Amino acid sequence: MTLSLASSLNNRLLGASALALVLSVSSQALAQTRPQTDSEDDATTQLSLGKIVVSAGVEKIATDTPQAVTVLNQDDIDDTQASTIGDLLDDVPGVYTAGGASNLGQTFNIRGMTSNRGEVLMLVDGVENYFEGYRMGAFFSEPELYKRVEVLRGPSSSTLYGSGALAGVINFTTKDASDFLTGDDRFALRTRFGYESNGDGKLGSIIMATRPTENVDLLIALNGRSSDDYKDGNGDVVTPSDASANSVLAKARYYIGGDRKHSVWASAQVWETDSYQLYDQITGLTAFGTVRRRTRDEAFILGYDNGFEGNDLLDLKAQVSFSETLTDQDGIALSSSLGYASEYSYSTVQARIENTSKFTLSPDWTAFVTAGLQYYSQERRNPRYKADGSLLANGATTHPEGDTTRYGGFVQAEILWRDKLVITPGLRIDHTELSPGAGVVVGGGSTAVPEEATNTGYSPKLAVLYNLTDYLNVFGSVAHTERMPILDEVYSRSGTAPVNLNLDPEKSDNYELGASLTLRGLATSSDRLNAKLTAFNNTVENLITSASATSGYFINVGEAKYEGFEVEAEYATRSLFARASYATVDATNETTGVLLNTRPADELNLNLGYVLNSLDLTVGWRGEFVSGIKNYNATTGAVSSTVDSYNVHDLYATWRPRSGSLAGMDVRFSVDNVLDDYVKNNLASFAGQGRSFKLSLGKTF
Amino acid sequence: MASVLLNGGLLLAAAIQPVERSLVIEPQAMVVELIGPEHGVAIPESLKSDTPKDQPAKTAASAPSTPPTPAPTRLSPAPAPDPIVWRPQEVKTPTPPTPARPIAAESAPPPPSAGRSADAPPSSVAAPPSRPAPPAGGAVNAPVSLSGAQGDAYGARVRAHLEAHKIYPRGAKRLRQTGVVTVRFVIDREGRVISSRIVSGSGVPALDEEAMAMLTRASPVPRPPAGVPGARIEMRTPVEFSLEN
Repeated sequence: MTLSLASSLNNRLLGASALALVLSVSSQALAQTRPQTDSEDDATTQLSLGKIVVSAGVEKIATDTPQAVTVLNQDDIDDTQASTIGDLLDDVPGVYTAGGASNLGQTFNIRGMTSNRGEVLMLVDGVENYFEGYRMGAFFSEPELYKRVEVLRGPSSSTLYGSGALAGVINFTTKDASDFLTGDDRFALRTRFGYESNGDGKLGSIIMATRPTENVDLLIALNGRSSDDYKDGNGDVVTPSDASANSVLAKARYYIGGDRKHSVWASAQVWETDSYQLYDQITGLTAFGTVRRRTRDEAFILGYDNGFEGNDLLDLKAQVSFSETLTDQDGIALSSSLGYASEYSYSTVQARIENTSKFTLSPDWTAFVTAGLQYYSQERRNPRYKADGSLLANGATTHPEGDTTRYGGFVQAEILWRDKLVITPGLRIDHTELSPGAGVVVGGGSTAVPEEATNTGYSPKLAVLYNLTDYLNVFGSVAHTERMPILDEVYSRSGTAPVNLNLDPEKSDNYELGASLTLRGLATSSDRLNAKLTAFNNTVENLITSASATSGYFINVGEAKYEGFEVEAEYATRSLFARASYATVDATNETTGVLLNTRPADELNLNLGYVLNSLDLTVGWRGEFVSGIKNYNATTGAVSSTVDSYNVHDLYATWRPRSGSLAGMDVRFSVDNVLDDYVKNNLASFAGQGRSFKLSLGKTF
Repeated sequence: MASVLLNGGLLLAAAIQPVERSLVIEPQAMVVELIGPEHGVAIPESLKSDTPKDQPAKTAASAPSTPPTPAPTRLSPAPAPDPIVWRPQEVKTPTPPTPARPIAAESAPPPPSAGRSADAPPSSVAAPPSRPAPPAGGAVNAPVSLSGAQGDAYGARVRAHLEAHKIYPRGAKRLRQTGVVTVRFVIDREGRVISSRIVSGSGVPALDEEAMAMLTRASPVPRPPAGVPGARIEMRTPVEFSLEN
């Protein structure tokens, strides 16, 4: 039933975007029948150019912040023609897709740490998205929903976003009606259609934005995506690697009293898939068999923003949300333990309120202080059923049910001296309470019910950026954060090892140093060169691992060190651009001295493009060069496997007419992995996609 | 699948079809406006005068043949002394003052908020009576009427050229200062910016200065094509400094 619903939504979407296109074609035909009126006799001709927006986020490389951050804007997102979030993040330095290849199997690795237990904090419109993905990935979503993705590498973002982001934060922002409504438009429609040859991928997307009155913005976005498993460079089908999903985003915003900085807003987002698929989406093990699995990720947010115009001390943002990640599956092969059918649900209530105050301390000194409070409460349920529908168990010994409640408070200042110096101190404190759910016992021979486990984590930081000259900045930061144990780590148990209520948080101390360069007008009046180098050293103590200890199923043992650097550079003139990024990470188990297999291979990304301004056409080449890497046996330190180096070459063209009746249209064509090379990343379970032709056509009306 | 193919086909059709024909713009897309007195906005004195003094000198030096005033033309029998302001024939008819905000862009900027107060007329100043909008589809009174396609395509090129020269001033960015500066500038047939001024300021000196600096850096802009007439071409554009994206 749901399966057919999903596919009918898909068909309707595609049909509706076809209708919109018919309308567009006919309106263009109408426009063409209109007579031209020419007059060529004016001494002074007057032209209005329309608004030029100078956006602060326009720089590809964040040369003016002490944070290692990469921001993908709408154009970048559209350019990737990504079918999964992993595709979207492919070119971000220091970020890698790990685990599976499908949209249900991908996890993310930043600077050598893979997100299994919250090391990478995923936020969508400020709502934390976390669940334990058994044989499934870490985040389920659709690239088309977003207008911006911000990747903050390293633990120093924990202060603002949440403790324990040892690897970093990925911050997704959904599209807004105001992105599509220009001027006094009352209504805007955007359709996008995409096709990909490898895996027969199809995308249909419709966005309706309307401003029925001056004070109200409404948006509805519908996305339907279907694809089959792709083929790798050897021509073999990779299972599972498909990305079929449907998603809906609805948003409403009411501006209070005509003030654009004072508004209440609400949004609803649902992402859903429903198919027969391999149970194991991460490594593709066939022993678990095939299941019918329905996965739904949804979030409902109510927000209030008030800039308190004229009052420097108040700039308030508040939101409450309910979100849920639900996996509902049946037909499981290993029904004696996993159940014939089962459900994994993660229902979360969150609240966040923060205020930013501006203090003008003297003509030379200004400070922005952001302070906030956060609440997070997640109920995690995992009923497992027999084939006859009766309950088999709640959770399992290593998949305990339970509740997580967290209270957090943070304050971060940004202290500015002239336009020379930025000092950013911050502190965050989080308190977590874990309580066991149905079926959880102490283990290790005891059937008693364990108590709650509580932890408090501190995340202080200090970052400094100084402008040595107009074009050269140096920066550095020191940050500490603590990743508090999750339900799995505290309440997992076996016949010999009990739960461990005394697990300590993993503690990270991170140091970064870097420099950035901004040069303009080198060879032409408008060219620019930006470059940034960031070196880091992140030591994590109290590593939480499942060892064969009898003191607890999970114990704190040893420490790991992650060190490396990232280089980003960009040169652009009006017609030519070149970008390069390089990232290298070493990750070592400091107790054994053995390199960790979660460290990524060194990667160099290049992008070279040419803009034919007169044709509104951009053509270019992307290259990804990945070094070979060895995996080691964690105990003996012997080489366990070798992963070959590989290169991927893409060619692309983007046509975006800026004027004429086709203004508002964008056509993107690319050939990814032109040489059809066999590519396999050391962090991925599967080979990457072989050659694929991608075409997407978008039009905003 | 059929609908997918249909979709692709239609979009392709939409993409290819108009290329074969000439591009035509809806008349209202081309905005023609009268420049009236400006007022009600506090603009730093240094920025009030037309472009830096050295600018016209440089321009004159590099192109001595450029006439200092526009050549008289059929449509403007009384040559305007100031090339920036085109005076319509019906000069005797009292022309209501133009609002500080350009008509063309009036549709574009979001409703004024206090943070951008400088770009809207302060409430203490008597709001000018709004000038009747030119009738859609080619104004009878509007003396300048361009072929939409030519003008719009050229406008887009100039815009893109300016966009390539825009910079968010570092200090303003850090202080989270935002605002809209509307600038007006005049170019000659070579695309050189021969004069420029701020029509309405942002209230943030650094942003006002940057908007003018952008014009200086961007000069010369792409040359006007033959289809865009006039010895001088006057353009205006709101430049919004936004921290939102």
